[in-house]
Amino acid sequence: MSEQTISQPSTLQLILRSNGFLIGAGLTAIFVLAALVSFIWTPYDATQISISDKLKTPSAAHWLGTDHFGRDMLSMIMVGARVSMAVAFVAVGVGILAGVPLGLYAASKRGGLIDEIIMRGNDLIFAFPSLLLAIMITAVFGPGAVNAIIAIGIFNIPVFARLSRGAALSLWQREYIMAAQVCGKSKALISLEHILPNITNLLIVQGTIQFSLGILAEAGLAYVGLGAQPPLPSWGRMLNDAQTLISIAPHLALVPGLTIVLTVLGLNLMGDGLRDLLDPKLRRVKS
Amino acid sequence: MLRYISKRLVSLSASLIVASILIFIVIEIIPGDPAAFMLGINADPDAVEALREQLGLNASLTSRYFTWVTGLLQGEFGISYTYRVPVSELISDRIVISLPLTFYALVLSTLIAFPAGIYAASKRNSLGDVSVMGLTQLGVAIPNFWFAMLLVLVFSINLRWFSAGGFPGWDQGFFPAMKALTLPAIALALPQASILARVMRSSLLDTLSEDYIRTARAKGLNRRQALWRHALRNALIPVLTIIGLQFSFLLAGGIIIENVFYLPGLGRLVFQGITQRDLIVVRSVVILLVFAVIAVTFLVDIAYAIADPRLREGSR
Amino acid sequence: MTLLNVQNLNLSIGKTPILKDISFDLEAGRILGIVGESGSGKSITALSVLQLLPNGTKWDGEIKFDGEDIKTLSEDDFCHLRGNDISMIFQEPMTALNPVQTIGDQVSESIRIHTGKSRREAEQLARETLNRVELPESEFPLSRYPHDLSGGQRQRVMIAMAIALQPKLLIADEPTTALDVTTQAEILELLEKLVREDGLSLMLITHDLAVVAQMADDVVVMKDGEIVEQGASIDVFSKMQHPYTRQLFSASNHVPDRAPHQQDDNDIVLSVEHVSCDYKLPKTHLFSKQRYFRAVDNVSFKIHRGENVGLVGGSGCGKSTLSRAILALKSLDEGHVLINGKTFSSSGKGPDLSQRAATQIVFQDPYSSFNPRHKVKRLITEPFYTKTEELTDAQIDAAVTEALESVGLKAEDGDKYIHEFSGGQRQRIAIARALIVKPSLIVLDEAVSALDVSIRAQVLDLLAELSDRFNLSYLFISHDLSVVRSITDRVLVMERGKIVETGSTQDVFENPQHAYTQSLIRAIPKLDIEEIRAKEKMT
Repeated sequence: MSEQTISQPSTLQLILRSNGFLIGAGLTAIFVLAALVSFIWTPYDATQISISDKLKTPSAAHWLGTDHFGRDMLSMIMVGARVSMAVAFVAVGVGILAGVPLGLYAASKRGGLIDEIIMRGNDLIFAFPSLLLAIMITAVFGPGAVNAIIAIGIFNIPVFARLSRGAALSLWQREYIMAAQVCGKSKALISLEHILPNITNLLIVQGTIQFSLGILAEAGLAYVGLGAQPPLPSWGRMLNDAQTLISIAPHLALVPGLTIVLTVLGLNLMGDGLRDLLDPKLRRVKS
Repeated sequence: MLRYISKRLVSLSASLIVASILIFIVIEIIPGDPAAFMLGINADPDAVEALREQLGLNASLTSRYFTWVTGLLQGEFGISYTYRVPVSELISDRIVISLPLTFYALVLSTLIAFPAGIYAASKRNSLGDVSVMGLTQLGVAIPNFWFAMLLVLVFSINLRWFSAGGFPGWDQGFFPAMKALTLPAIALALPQASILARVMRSSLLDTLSEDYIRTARAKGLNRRQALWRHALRNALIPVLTIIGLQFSFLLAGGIIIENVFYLPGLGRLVFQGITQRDLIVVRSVVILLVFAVIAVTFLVDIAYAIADPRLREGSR
Repeated sequence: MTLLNVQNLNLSIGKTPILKDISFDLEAGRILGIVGESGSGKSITALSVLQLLPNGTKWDGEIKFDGEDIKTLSEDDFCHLRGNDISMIFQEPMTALNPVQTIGDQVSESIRIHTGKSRREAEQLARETLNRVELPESEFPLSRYPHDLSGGQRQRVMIAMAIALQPKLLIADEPTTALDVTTQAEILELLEKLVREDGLSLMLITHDLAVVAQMADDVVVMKDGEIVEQGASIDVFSKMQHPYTRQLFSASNHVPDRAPHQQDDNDIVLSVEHVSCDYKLPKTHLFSKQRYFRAVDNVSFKIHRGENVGLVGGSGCGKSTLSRAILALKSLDEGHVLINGKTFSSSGKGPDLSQRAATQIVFQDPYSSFNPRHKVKRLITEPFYTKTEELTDAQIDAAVTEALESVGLKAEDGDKYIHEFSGGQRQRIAIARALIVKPSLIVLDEAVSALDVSIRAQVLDLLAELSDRFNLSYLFISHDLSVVRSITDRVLVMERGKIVETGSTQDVFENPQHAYTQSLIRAIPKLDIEEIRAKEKMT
């Protein structure tokens, strides 16, 4: 009944879809750029304390104002972007590099003992309240960006393992996979040659989503003091610093908060846009 | 049904056992000797040794693990290294804040998400749908602790409707206590509600394109009836999973939110435990939370079986 | 009296025109067959009568039901009509029922929303209706859920839902396409009986000319959104004025030309010896003993060089498992498989990889048979992986050209992607992929079942020609017995994991011995003009 499922997206929807992707990609690009530029240039030294300039509201000299130590907020946001993005990016990388092979392997041994062990292991990680485990890990190994990466990355592993296992299982039912088996190809080779290329779209979309979740998680860890350590600025700790001063200097809380919201929003919009752009092909492949 | 439930029960208990071993090992490798920590830097080594003996730290790993687990089964968590009181006492003081907060947030999240998701799905592609989805997109992007700070700024500092933090205690009456938990619950619930609403919508849209919806329409049901009578119950099945996961998110998210509102809950207890090397407190709270998550997972499994007859009669 | 009158119906979805100038009448109490290949617009014609059209559909023209122009009806009026005066049965019984509601609730729901009967009265009527569709209370109480019913039983529930209120018009859209041939015969018989008993009009939509010829009083033949011929069955089938109707008819009865098979009794390509395969059953409880389901039970047979052997049986009879076992895609639990006289695989041992190239397979679904990310050349050279010797690029190119040309495609097609080809062409490419390593045996697993009849006839011709040219053997697995009859020398009939009958195709079809074979052959819808004439005379 393919005729039944044809449905025309409304014009409104089409515009929103393509615009959503453009807005998302634009926002993401701005923050990635800010992070990269911060390596060579920031308006001020992000760690430079200048008590005489403290708690300035945004002005021509300090576009986003200054904090309670007189540090330039824009510079701190730029350097903070570096930390946030690096942590989230590497954590997604950890998830993909460990999770995808596990998922593909489990799918190729469907129903076997190893499949069972991998999937139960995944369930186990899901049973831990994610932030709690992150807190435990950073508590054990000490706070810092690297440990934040490990803590967040561990939770990405089951996400990618499940996703790739599920997608691979449905691909294993495809006849072209059986044709490859008839040609004597091993399961590992088939996973690499036929399955992995056909799930990359899914991985890209999920990757953007996990990236944005990573940024949120990093901010949370940094907020409770378990992220990147001073003097390196980080968005989450800027919020922590702002908390006690929120009634006298709300911009201290608004600037980093909005930065996080816009970054995550941008990534999510881009992910949704990618899904719409990549999925129709994927669906055609399936049908 | 019974077979399915007992199967899940066995599998979840296994998870719990493995989790307890993991927690025990992780806590064991935390650097620092609690005995030395408790007695300060200049403590006499003999005194430290005596304290280690007294705390049972000199026994072998396995025997310490079993002592801990058997204690857990009897509701005894041991004595806090720093507070010198039974951990169970500490926990029972705090859990009456953390658990109600989590459930409060879960209820709020569900109450917001269901109508929003159902509305958006039934008015697919309309202005209403697009606005609801735009709002949820924003909601998903907001860090809950920042949202909590904004709530404090608006409702406590400017409008003075709520106090900015603290907890009066349940003995001050139900409503004052709930009032103190309201802002934290909203801060926790809104981002989760956004996720749930999106899942609800897409799950409903998926079921609405199923063949049996067409069957229902061919029977003479209108769109509304088809949605309420046939699509909703089927759409709930994946939504239940998300609700189960949300419990875990909310419980953990509560740890941070408690900090924003200075609520004396389990989250603050854990942080104090970590900074003061109070291992017994940390691992007791963590195992308790894991237990809570697994218990809720079990409830979700039962809800699954009620919603889906295929599971109930399972492998007959 | 004319119950349904469709005049100059034009319909488009978005900017794509689907139906052009469709006009037909359906008289009360008659059966109208609408027949056509995929994309002919037959299903959308049915849905437009019910006004259950996809979003973005526009139509003009006139549809009158029971004298009333449906354009004048509001959506509420239509809801009252659907399920009450017009009912519909769909193709996919496995997905057409709500999995979380009992069959009783689903049947009585249509009764309750239209009649305002109490729950008890509705359930009683539902019970009576389920009895009428031969689902007795002892086995099928109202409290049963759809998930453990078979396809045929679910389709009966669908029928019960449709006829519970004795509608004037029943629309059946490919009601038996997803079912086994024996189940198909039972369902069609039941439908015809109910329709005649209640004096309903039936609009039967199908791709199967034989089904229409057996049941319909009137016929509409559709092609590419247009009606090419219509009239009383007897007239349409005996005169066949339009060339497309003739083409459909001859394609449905097509028998490819084949050279008579010269059998050398000592030249055996495939030898299956006492093969059994088990599947694990889900454990009843955690510590229970693992139980197995024997899908293939002690099967032995041989295929000679150049011989085409058919393997038939209902769904779940084990024929797919057997084919997987022969290709060593599933391990054997007992027995051996020999290819060209040498052991290829046996129980407890993996396949002998050096013989992989000797057997190849063509699958049913031309759409999922290829990795969409590879070009045709890479797709069809995949079997070279079985070869140990290195081939030069020139050798590979020559092999690709030869394989593509022998299936009627061009060498340049190797540089295209698979989505640039139609279903029939893809099936040719699948055959090219199998041919390229010059195998002795090709397993054709429902290889023509997904194709429209005219394409199917062409592919059957190609298969026959290739078998003659390369002295190829086929194991032709199909649920469609008329196709098996047209292309095989010998046939194996499988039931519940065992081969119950074997013999030359002609003998088995003309003089079946085993009761199961007899029931299979009796159930084949026949496309025989003489029979249609005889039937017409009787009524």
